[in-house]
This record gives sequence, structure tokens and C-alpha cells, in this order.
Amino acid sequence: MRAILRYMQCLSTVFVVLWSTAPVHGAILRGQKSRDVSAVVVRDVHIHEYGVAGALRAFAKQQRIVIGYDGIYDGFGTMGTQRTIRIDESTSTVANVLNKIVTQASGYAWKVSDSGAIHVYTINGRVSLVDVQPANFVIAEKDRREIWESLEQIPELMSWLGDHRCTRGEIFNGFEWRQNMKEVSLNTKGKSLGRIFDDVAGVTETYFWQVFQYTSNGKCVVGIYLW
Amino acid sequence: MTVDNATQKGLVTGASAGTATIRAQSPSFVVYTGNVCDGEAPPPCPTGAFASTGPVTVQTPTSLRLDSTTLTPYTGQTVKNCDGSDAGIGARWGYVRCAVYTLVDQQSPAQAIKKAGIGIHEDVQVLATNYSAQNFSGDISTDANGRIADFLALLGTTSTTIPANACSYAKQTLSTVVKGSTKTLRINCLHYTATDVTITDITSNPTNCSTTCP
Repeated sequence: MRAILRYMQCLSTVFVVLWSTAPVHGAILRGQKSRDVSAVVVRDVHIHEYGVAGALRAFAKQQRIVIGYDGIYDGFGTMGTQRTIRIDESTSTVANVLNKIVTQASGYAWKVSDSGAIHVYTINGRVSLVDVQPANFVIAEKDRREIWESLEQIPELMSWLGDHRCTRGEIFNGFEWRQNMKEVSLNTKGKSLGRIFDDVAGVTETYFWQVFQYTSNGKCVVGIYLW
Repeated sequence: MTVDNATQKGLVTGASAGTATIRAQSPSFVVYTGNVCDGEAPPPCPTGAFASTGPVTVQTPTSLRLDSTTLTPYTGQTVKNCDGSDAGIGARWGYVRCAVYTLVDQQSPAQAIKKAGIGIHEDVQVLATNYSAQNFSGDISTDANGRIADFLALLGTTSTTIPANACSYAKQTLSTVVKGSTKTLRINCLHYTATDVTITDITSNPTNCSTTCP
């Protein structure tokens, strides 16, 4: 009897995970923590945002879940040809909302990362910079802007840029640093940049980060946005 | 209306926006005393009274008037706020355009509401962008002249970061709270380019803002 109960318990867990993470572009689940964030039920989701990054940022902030996004674009101008994503769901799951976002945006997929955060990426290629693992990147009593500015002191990041003949470049409107600026300390040992960005987004309550790579005037540019 | 007995001044408190006429009148009082007449014995002393009439207007926040804008280009200098203080975003390349508005009332012509501390809420919704501009919400307070300064910027981390075709369109809604209800004061279409941002008042037609960047 106990064996049957255990089997049924296991079966129901499998069912919930499968149901809640049914992907459009094939979500990859690996190394899940005890709680699969994609299965979380969400209510009153209203997203009317331009582009995939805007929609993901809005969703992450609404639901207080960490979402990281990396994408490769043919050129700077292509980022301006995205569409407005509209989602209105009274009751849904994180997985279903993500599926709707990547369906409307087209060309994107998502997965639950090892950290438990959601990672969204362009299907035609990921920015491998987020997999770079710094040997010694210290985050001690730094706010979000200081962390962002100190990225250029990471030798591994600079090497990646050199190896890929890319330069860094971020554009912003100036109000990105007015909120979520508490000083934090983080253990970065053995973590990839993507994982570190997950942690930064979580503890600063920004909940979103993005890295994208594009070509501008024939040159590779990488933007790292911790907002 | 209340009268302060110490100062003998009256204070009229507005109940709602609009205009009214205030008439103040005193009770009859003895004008002369002493040798001229004796108030205790007839004939009675001469008496008099005063009265005064004047118009008053209760102002209500109605719109924001764009008074001036100033463009400041940056080529690696420390970025400053509209009041000249350090914006706290380091040395950058790009520009800041400061737009100064005055909160005005319902009259025609509109009059400034010269009161400090009136909260103006700003909502910026990105309609199109090719550099990942994001939505923003914030609050600004009027100064004693009823003015606010809006900080509009496009900044990059290096001299080559902002491409010549950088573009974003955003709908900026400026509002305040009047008697517990949100009052929209102005809706702008903000068009950011690589070198400047244009501000177009679309309050009367809020959909008149592009949703695509060329």
C-alpha cells in the first residue's frame, strides 16, 4: 500500500511538472531546485510591452521572479522591428506566460536555469559571454551600478570580448539607477556570469537582466544590462 | 470662512475649483467716542460699518505648460541633473534635455499654480525602441513657482556606443491627484534619436505617437 501511495505521489509530481512547463520551443529543465518556478501559478497578468525584453522585464517585475535574457541580433536596427507583446491572463502559470511571450515574439526559447531563474534566449544563437566564469570577481557592499561598472575589471570578460572581436556598449536613459540600488554582497565563486547576474537581479529586486550582441557599423557590440 | 481673532484676517477655503465673490461685512460699531459723543446717553453716537467685496478663484491643477527646454551634449563628462547636481550616473556620452514645465490652472488664459510640493507622477511607456529602452515611473514635486524639470536623456558608455540610427518612441503621461482621483495633465510623445529628443504634446490625441522605429 505504501509503495502504491509513493508511486501515485511521484506520478502526480511528474504530471504537474510536465503540465506546467509544456514548451512552445522546447523548454529545457535541468538541475531543478525543490521549487520549479515555471510551475508557479500567476494571476492577473497584463503585459502590453514593446519587444521581448520589455515583456520579460515587465513579467519579471510583476511576479518577482528572476528572468535573464541573452540574444544575438543581425544588426542594431533589427531590434527596432519587434512587435508589442500583449498578454492578458486572469490565471495562468509562469510557463504558460513565457510560452505566450516567445510565441508572440518569435525566434526565442526559454528554460529554467540551474539557479532556478528563467533564462530566455534567441534560438539562432546564444551569447556565450554569459557562460564565462570569472575566477575572482568580488561583489562586496556594491550597488547595482557599481556592480555593472566593475564588470570591465573581470579579465575573463575582457578576454571573451577580445576573442570575439567585440566591444562593450550600453545605451540608457538615465533613470535606470534611481531604484533598486541597495548595496549587496554576493558569493560569486564558481558561478558563471549569467548565474551572477541572476543573483544580482534577485537580491537587488530588479528581477531582470539582459545581454545582447549585435553588429553596428560592421563591428560586434555586446550590451550588458542589469536593469 | 474663518476669522483669525489675533490678526483679524479672514481665511476663505475653497470647496472646489471655480470662481466666486467674497463679501466681508462688519457689524455696526460706534465711530466716535470721547468728547464727541457719550455712548451711555442719548442721542446715540454715530455708528458705521465697513464692507468689502472681491473676486476669488480656487485653482485646480489642469495642465502642464512647457516653458523651455535645454539640450546639454555630453562627450565624456559627468552627467548632471537639471538643477546642476551630479546625476549619479558617471561620465557618459550622449545628451540630456531638460524640459521645464509649469503647472497651470483651469482659467483662460491659464494661470500658474504657485505652490511647492504638488506631486506630479510620470509614466513613460516605450512604444518602439532599437536600443532596449525601458518603461519608467517616477514622481516629481513642483517648486514654489509651480515648476518641474523633466530629465530626458540618451547616454552611452563610450563615444561610439550610440549608433546614428538610435531610436525610441515613448508615451509620457504626466498626472497628479486631485481630490483622490488621478488627473492627467499632459501626454507627450517622446522621440529619442542619437542626438536629441523631441517632445510633442499629444494630450488631445494620445495615440498619435509612432510604434515603429525606422
